[in-house]
Amino acid sequence: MTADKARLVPPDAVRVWRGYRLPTLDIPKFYSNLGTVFVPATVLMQIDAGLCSYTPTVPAGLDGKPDSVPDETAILFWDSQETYWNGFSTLAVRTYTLTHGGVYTTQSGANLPVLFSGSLKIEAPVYLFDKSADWMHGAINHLVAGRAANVDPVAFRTAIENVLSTIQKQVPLEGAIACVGNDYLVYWELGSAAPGTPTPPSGIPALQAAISGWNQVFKPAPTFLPIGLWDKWAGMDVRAGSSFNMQFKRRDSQT
Amino acid sequence: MKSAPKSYPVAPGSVYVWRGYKSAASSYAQFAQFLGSVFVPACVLLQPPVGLRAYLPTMVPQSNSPSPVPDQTALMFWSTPEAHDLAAHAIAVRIYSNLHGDAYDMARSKLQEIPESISTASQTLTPEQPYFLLDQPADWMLGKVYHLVGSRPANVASAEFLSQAWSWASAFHAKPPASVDGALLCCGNDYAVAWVHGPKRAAKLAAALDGLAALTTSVLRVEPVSKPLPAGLWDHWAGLDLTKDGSLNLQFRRPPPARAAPRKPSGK
Repeated sequence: MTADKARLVPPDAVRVWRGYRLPTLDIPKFYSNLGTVFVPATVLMQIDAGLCSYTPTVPAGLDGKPDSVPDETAILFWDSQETYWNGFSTLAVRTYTLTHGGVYTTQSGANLPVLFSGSLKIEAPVYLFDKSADWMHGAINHLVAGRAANVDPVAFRTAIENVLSTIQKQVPLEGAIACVGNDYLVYWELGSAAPGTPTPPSGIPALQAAISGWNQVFKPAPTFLPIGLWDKWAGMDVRAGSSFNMQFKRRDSQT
Repeated sequence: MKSAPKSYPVAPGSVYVWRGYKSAASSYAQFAQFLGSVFVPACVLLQPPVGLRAYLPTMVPQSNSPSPVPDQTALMFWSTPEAHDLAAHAIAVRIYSNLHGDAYDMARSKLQEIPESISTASQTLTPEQPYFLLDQPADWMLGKVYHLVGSRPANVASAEFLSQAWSWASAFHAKPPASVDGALLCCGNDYAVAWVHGPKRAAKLAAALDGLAALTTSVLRVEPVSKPLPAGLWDHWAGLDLTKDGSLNLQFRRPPPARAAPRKPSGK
């Protein structure tokens, strides 16, 4: 599978996933399931249903990560929201979707975002920039953070709202997505700086300064799958802190 | 003109004999809807490229089915006895395997699936151990199949039921009906499931199981309908209606033996 040509997709055509590991599944088994089934299946089963980019990250097992912070995060861009919903009329997407039950708790879920207008709702993702972008090819930074025990949930959310408003107005990015729960923040940004820029624009330092709890920054690594659905392959190596920006040929690029 | 599908006979032990019990969290209608919309077509679309040779799922009607009788049966034939395990090297098969827990009560459904020769049994059958009654290879996707599901009569003890079934199976093994080239049997303490296969589509196979039927209270006797799927993995399609087509012999393309297993990527 080789690199794909650029394709800009709308900022609201993304599912924002926050997954929590079933307590009955130990962490090594969780990594194994992600690497041998879920991450590659997300790509291989959904390219032909219109998947445009997929960026999974695995905070599970990182030192100090509170249980209330997701064990796996992901953003999955489609060429439109309609494409995402239409996928369920295909067997491939129905099958892929129903593989999740044995791994994730019912607290887990994904949502489509709305444009950020200054305030956040719990478990409701937002996007900050109303322009199309190609998240498979750009440089993504991803922040996962927990609420400190001495900060109440409203203050946590308010502090984040203030920083997101500033990012939206002042930081030149190609795209940004955020979602808060009562106890966590997940935030992705797509940079616009040329490769090699020493300090590319980013909203992450300001977010880190505004929250005092556990946090970790990830730089999803461009990752190709070397195989197809029926090839002999043991799977990907997934461990604490793994973060991938999966690279594939989108369906409208296939010949 | 379409040519006839090529025949790929497989060894009689190269099959998984599934007896599934639905999850208590689902109604029978939900169970049938799930199997038809995802599970059954996924089996056919994900596994043949790596060795699946025949797949015959059957829904067991609930109207006259006591609780110990499975809610669904299936035969999954593989190109070789080892092919099922080798297939798990392909992600397509791992995806399919990860579906199981959603539909079934796995505590009840996790049973011995690989058959032994009936000649290994002595005077009685081991409950929940499938047996093949004929030793020759057969291609179960082609030809004709007949399937029986029965429950143990209330006035027959389990031990007697298993002993009677062994007597019938041993006699079948010694003198099989001329039209039959494959036969499988599995008994629990309270039920029996059996299948016979004949290579000719016009074969009349029901009588081959009359002797076993006489030992059971009938739940289902059916000829699985040969049916191809009308859609691929990425086509828009709602799935199969298993409340209408409850017993199927699914028809699909099969690769030749040299290609019927996961292979290292070609590097293209």
